[in-house]
Amino acid sequence: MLTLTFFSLGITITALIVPGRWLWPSLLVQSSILPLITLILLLPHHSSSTWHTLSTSLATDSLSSPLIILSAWLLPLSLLASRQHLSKEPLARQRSYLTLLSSLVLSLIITFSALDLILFYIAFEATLVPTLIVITRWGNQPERLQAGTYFLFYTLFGSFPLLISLLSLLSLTSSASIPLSSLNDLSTLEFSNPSLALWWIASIIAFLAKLPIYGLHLWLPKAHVEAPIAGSMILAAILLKLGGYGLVRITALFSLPNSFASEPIITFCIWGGLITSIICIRQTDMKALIAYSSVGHMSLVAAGIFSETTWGLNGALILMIAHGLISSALFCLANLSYERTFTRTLSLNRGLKLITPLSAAWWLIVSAANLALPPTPNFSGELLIVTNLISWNPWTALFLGLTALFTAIYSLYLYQSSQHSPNPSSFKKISQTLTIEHLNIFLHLTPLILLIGKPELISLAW
Amino acid sequence: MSKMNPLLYLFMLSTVILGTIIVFLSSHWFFIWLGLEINTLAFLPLLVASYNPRSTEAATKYFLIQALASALLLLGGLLHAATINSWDPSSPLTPLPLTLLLIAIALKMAIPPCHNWLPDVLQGLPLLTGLILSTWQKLAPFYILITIQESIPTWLIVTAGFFAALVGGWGGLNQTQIRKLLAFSSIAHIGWTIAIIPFSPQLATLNLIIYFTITSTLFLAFHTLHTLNLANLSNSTNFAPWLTTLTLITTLSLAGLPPLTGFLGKWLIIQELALNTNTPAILILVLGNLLSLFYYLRIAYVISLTLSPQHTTSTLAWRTSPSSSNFPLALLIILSTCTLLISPSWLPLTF
Repeated sequence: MLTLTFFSLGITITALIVPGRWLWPSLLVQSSILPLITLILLLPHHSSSTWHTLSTSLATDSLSSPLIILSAWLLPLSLLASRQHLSKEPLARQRSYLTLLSSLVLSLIITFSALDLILFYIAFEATLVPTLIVITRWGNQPERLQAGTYFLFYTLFGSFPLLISLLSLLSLTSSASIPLSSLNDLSTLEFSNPSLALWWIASIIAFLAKLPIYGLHLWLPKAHVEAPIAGSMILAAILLKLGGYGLVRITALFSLPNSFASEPIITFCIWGGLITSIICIRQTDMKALIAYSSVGHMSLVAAGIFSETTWGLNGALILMIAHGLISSALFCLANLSYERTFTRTLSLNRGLKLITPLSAAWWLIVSAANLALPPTPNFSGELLIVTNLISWNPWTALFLGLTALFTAIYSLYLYQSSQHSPNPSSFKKISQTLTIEHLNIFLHLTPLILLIGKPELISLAW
Repeated sequence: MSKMNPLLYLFMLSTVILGTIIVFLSSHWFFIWLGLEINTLAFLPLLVASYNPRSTEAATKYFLIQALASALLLLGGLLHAATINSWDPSSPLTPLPLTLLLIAIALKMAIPPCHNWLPDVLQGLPLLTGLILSTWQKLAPFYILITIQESIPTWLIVTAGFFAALVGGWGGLNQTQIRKLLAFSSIAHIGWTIAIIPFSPQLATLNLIIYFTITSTLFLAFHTLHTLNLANLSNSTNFAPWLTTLTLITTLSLAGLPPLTGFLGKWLIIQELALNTNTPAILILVLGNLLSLFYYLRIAYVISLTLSPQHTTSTLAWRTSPSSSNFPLALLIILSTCTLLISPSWLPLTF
């Protein structure tokens, strides 16, 4: 694990000190080597059911290694995507932007591989500062300040209870180690069920706000709409998955209260998924639509995790990885048209098929994957979760079916309204798409399509 | 301070230090009072060193409050001596002297409800004098508080602590003056510090040191930027881009965001309180911290996150260019952002 952390630390330092002429080439090369190293290091162990790649306090297992690989994979892609809009900035600002992105990936890798809950918490929170600065410094509109405030306060309001809960755990059981947590039977402590449930809720609220589930989600559309492209990509692809990852780790700690406290939350998540998919249909802003679609998918992930069955957890992991790639690709595509039309409004981004034909194909594939069309991994993930939830309670079939229906409607609506119908007369001088942009989408879709053939790479071994 | 003879200034400054050291070294209530009075009287000329109506007002307010506090302290000490016939500060206190002493300390350290003088006084001072006021001047009363903490009921000091955290958070929400913001931030941090005194005085000292480091960095940085209010701060980034960027991170460190230094104190305090299962106190402290975070965030936004493409709406101030090397500030910035990563409490997590 130290290889990975030091490598990404090295990228951060490179971004600070490399001469200006070599800034982008060296950063792109280094950040492209990072996912290769993660693949070489982590992939051979994917089927082992225990912790591997140990260093003193960092290790990975079959839950964290796909997420680490995804984080490393998205760093070069987000750099590629932000090359265009950074090119007009002075060198020092490009440098600080790249430093922030690479330090974000560094803290993500530490978060996903931390063996100690306190270290996990610190690294989890360490992602806040770079993200906040990226949103509020490189966003485009004055509303970005409000978005930054929302982002910070929603996250911190949830995560202080988490800190208190983790430190109480540490003081009660004298250990905050994740691998040893199965030995800490909290039911032996002298706690009544309600107070244990309260403790459990204090521990998960941070992750519920980070995912986010419906009800704690208001920061997400704002942050996505205001963030620059790389910020949106990393936010959607990985930062939301921090929430899912944390939920899996914390629910493993509390086995007792889950049984009676998680049922209302599962119901709430299913309702939230339905409501957000309806909200998506009435969005006028392309990025806001994609952001709300993330909320809907993440609600399913949360429901899968809270069901605490092998099917639910596996489905949640598969959906997290697939959604990470797809939502990032959607933001890339939205940015591709934004950089040409200078608007995110859906009704103005019309008829792009005629202007940029290849990207219309990308839009089709990505929208199809977003609505969980078989055989994409999104489909397998949703299938596992939905099956699991229906076996939990048959009535959920109604709401999950409606959610799937509305998801299909808004995904196809996004595709159709942006690609079909005559393009506005203002679109006369639109520049061609660049190879680098197609490469970017291609690199998003390739792993997704390859994973169709080998889904065990993103399934849990325990 | 330029209007004062440097030798005289140095003399006054060393007398301020002398007064505090007398407090540290004495085991007799009368000498503690003496040390505090020497400290106050030597500090007054420093307050009016840059002579203007604001600083005169600040000095007058400061003098009145400190004189009242010292008188109460002396009265408390005398009553203590009269009741149990001992001048020893560490001997257990009876309720009446304890109350008088606590009010005196609350006045000296600006603990609510005796805090209202601090923002006003700080607002009238140049930043470097303000730096002394909000760091060194807290030491002597803090030492007295630690000395008598055995006699203070735990609930009282914890309640005072979380009141201070809340008031510090609430008061700063409405301010646009840097010095007032720093004053309220000082009140909030003193709140965190005293809330932990009954459980671990060492931790309180550590938190105070961390706070001193970070707040000194901010005072020095704003001094270098010649900035006294938020509007002026908004265009200082063109003047010193790196310094403003680092000040941004230092501000977030003062707010206690991990992995910056400010988180260290909060982490250990929450851990200690959780060890004593004092969850309500933690919740209120954290709530106060979230309130303070709001104005730290506003400083952070103004200082370097809102540059072009927006046009500046504030007038540009004349500034002399900063000296090229500012070693103390550089050292302080490193300390106030990176200490968590090299602190011993980090070690068990990583090695």
